[in-house]
This record gives sequence, C-alpha cells and structure tokens, in this order.
Amino acid sequence: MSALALEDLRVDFGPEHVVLQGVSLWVEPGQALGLLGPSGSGKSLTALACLGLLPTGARWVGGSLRIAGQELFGADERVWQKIRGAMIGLVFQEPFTALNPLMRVGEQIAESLRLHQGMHDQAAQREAAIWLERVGLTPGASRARQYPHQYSGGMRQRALIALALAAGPKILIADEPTTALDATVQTQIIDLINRLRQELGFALLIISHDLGVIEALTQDALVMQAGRVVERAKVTDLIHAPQSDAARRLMRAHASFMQA
Amino acid sequence: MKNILEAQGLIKNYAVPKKEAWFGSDSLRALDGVSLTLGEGETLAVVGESGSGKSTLGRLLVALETPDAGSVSMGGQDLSTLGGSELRRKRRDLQMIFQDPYASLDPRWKAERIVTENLVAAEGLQGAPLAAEAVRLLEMVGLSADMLDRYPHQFSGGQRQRLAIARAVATSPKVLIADEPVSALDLELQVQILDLLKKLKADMGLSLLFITHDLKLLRGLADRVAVMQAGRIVEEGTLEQVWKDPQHPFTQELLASLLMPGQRKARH
Repeated sequence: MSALALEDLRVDFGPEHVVLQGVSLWVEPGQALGLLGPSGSGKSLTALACLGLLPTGARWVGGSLRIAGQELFGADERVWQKIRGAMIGLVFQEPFTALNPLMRVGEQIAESLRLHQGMHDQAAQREAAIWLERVGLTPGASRARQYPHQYSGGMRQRALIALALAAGPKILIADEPTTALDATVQTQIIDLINRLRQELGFALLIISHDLGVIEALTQDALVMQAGRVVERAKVTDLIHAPQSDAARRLMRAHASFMQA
Repeated sequence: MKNILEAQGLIKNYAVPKKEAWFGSDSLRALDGVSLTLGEGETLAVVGESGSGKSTLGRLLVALETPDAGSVSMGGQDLSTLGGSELRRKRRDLQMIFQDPYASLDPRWKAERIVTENLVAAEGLQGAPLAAEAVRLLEMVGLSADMLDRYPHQFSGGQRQRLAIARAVATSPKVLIADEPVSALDLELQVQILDLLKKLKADMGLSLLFITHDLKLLRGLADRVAVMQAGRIVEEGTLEQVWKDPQHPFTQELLASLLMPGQRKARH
C-alpha cells in the first residue's frame, strides 16, 4: 500500500480555469519523490490538495487521494484534522508564518503531541524538548521556552520540521523548504532531512523548482507543467537526458549558470 | 578603468530589540568599515548571507540611508554633502531595484505611470512624448505596449521585475544597484532577468552593483566579487579568482554549499 496515492487529481477555479488536469503520483513507504516544475505549474497546489488545504475558490472536481489506504476525496474538515500532523506532515517555504508567533516553540510541538498522541502535559513538554534536540536545536529544554522571533531563519525551519514530524506521520511533504534560506543553511537543512529519514523512515514528497535541491534529497522525480505531470524519471536521467519540454528548459537554465 | 562609485569606511549601526528581554535595545553594527569601488561599465557582485550587511550597504550606496561614519561618492562627489534637490538630480544617475518587485510598485498605478514616474519627476516630461517613452521603456525590457494600462497585480512575478527594471533605467542612470533582483523567481525566470540586465548593461553602458546570497548567479555576469560576512568584506577579487581559488573559509563554505545538478555527490 502506498504511503500516498494520488490518482487523476483535477482542480479548478471554475469550469473556465482548470489548474490541475489529472495529476497522478504515488509515494511508497519510506520512499522520497521529487516534484519539479516552474512557478505556476501546479506543484504547490498538488501539495496543498494532498493536505486538504486547497485555497479559497479552488474546487476539487475529480480524482482520488489515499493516504495509508484511506480515501480522502470529499473528506470533511474533521477527518482532515485527524490526518494532518498524525499521518502527513508539512514543511513549507516560510517557516515564520507557519509558527505561531505568540506561543513558545516547545509548546507548539507539545500541543501537537497532546492532540495526536494523547500525551499528558508534562510528557508532551519533555518530548517536545527531545524533538528540538533531534533537529539540532540544543539545549532542547531552553530552546523550547523561546518564541519564534528569537530564532534565526534556519532555526525556525528546523523547529518547523520538528513540529511536522513530532506526531509521527508516515509521509512528509516539503514545499520549497530551503528556498528562502541562505546557501550554507540550505545544505544544513537538506542534511537534516536526509538524516531524519534514515532514523525515522518516513516517506518524503519534496517540491522544488531547483533540480539541485531535488537531487540532494532523492533519486526519483516527476516534472509538472501547466497542471500536468509531463515526465517521470530518475533524477540522473533528468539531468543527462531530459525528455519533456519542461525538463529540458529547466536543465538549460541550470546549465546557463554552470557554464557561462 | 575610472571609478564611478566609491565607498570609504562605511559604518552603520541599528538599534534592535534585546533578544532575551521584553524591552530595551542593543546596538547592532550592520556595517563595520566597508570600502569598495565600482568601475565605469563594471559589474561588481556583493555576496553575503542574511544579516551580512549587504542590503544595508546597497541602501547607503543610493543614499536611501546615511552612514554613521564613512562616505559614498559618485563621480567624485560626496553624496552626504548634497542637498535635497541636488540629491534628487543625482538619483537620475543612481537607481536601485529590489527583490520583491510587487512591494516596490504602487498597486494603484498603471504600468504607464509606474515606468515614467522618474521621468516626470526628473525631466518634467508629459503628454505624447511621455506616452511614447513609456512604450519604448516597456519594449526595452521585453514587455509590450498593450500592457501600459495594466496594474501591477495583472503582471506575473517575472514581468513585475521587468517593470521595476524599466522604471529604474528610465532616466538612463549611470549606476544600477540590484538587491537580490531574482531571488523570488524560479530558475528559468532568473536566467531571463539576468539576461535582460546584461543586455541593458551593454546597451546603456551601465555600471552594475549586484547584491545576492546566491553565488551560482554570478557566472557570466560579474567581473568582480566582494564577499561579505558580519558587516565586513572578507574577500574581494575577480570572479575567476574567487570561484577557482577562494581564500577565506566563508567563501569556501559558500562555494561548497552550491547545489549544481550532476556536479556533486548526492547528499542522501
């Protein structure tokens, strides 16, 4: 059974404006899959659909989404609240907006543990500190007492990763998780995600416009363009023999930075 | 090569809220003695990470802010000695573009008014000549005349940056300072905007100061590179030198962090 199976997903903003025209992808347990594409290709919308978080005005008009076998097409918000966090975690580009600025970082992780794992307060607080240490925010107990604004951008992304994984989801969706970060911090976050995957074994759907980021995290990737998947390939094949127009254009852009 | 822009010993402090307290402030030294020169027709890249002081440097160089110590001079004239009207005239020669074109474009203005804003202010142009100039500017940056009546939100991210560039070059400046102009764009648009900057630079004889956190953008763009860390320039040299033989550990770390597809061992 796939960790995540998306079949023929169709999303529109009204009949005249179809934005996802039948997207299918499967992420197997423990596997990492990259989702590449230029801005506007529909990759982020695909990720949001996998979390039941389509923006206002977007309609899910067809297709099936199964997470660990459970069909979620048409599921109501109560069902989604049980799925999000517990079954599927999300990390995205802006770690500051994803964290509650008024709540201590440790408390935010503890809240997820209480909600999804039924932990009691003290145990959840202790576990939150352990999670912060696990993502490299040490000492965990004092980092837990800080607020998001006291963290740097890289630290916030680490905290967000801890928050996304704390309730033990089997799949993590990371949408441009390093795009807003400095280069040296970007590689640290990539190394962290790879290490956590080895330790915890969760599956990963990594979304980026940058093949360098995808290559650092996975060997398999899909390329999207104009609301469709236009290529499924090994990352090395995308680099050396891109087939689709979108992949070729992406590699040309990369190449222009490498040669010049 | 003659220098068009020179900075001498720039120091800039900011008051920042205390990190570990509810009130009070600390002084943060954003720039700690930065000197640099930009030659006529040259492209100098200033590379640094967030908090390195590179954006502060950009704002001081266009006199959007004043230094606590040190000076900026353009064509041999110290900007800090200029009065309001002289400074406004100088701005015709010294323009800036930013990372987020949307934030720098007035959402209530149509493209025509946006690209000609500086022309009206600087040269008092109006009527038919102004309208013709608006068309010329849009076409110069790869937009078209039928977009004159559009508002910023009706443009895509890449088009908005083109619009911001058109506004910046409207007065035929001598120096353009670009602060992370492509960081919010995807790879293909990054290439397109950089190509546009290179073309304008060649056509107009611009000198370009390009501020970025991303070293990979610099091949084929920059003549020289200044690497900033913690408010100082820690390494400076030709692009070739810095790329092939980085001396400072921080420059070496930046280069090692580059993720070029197919050029390094996968990290997983």
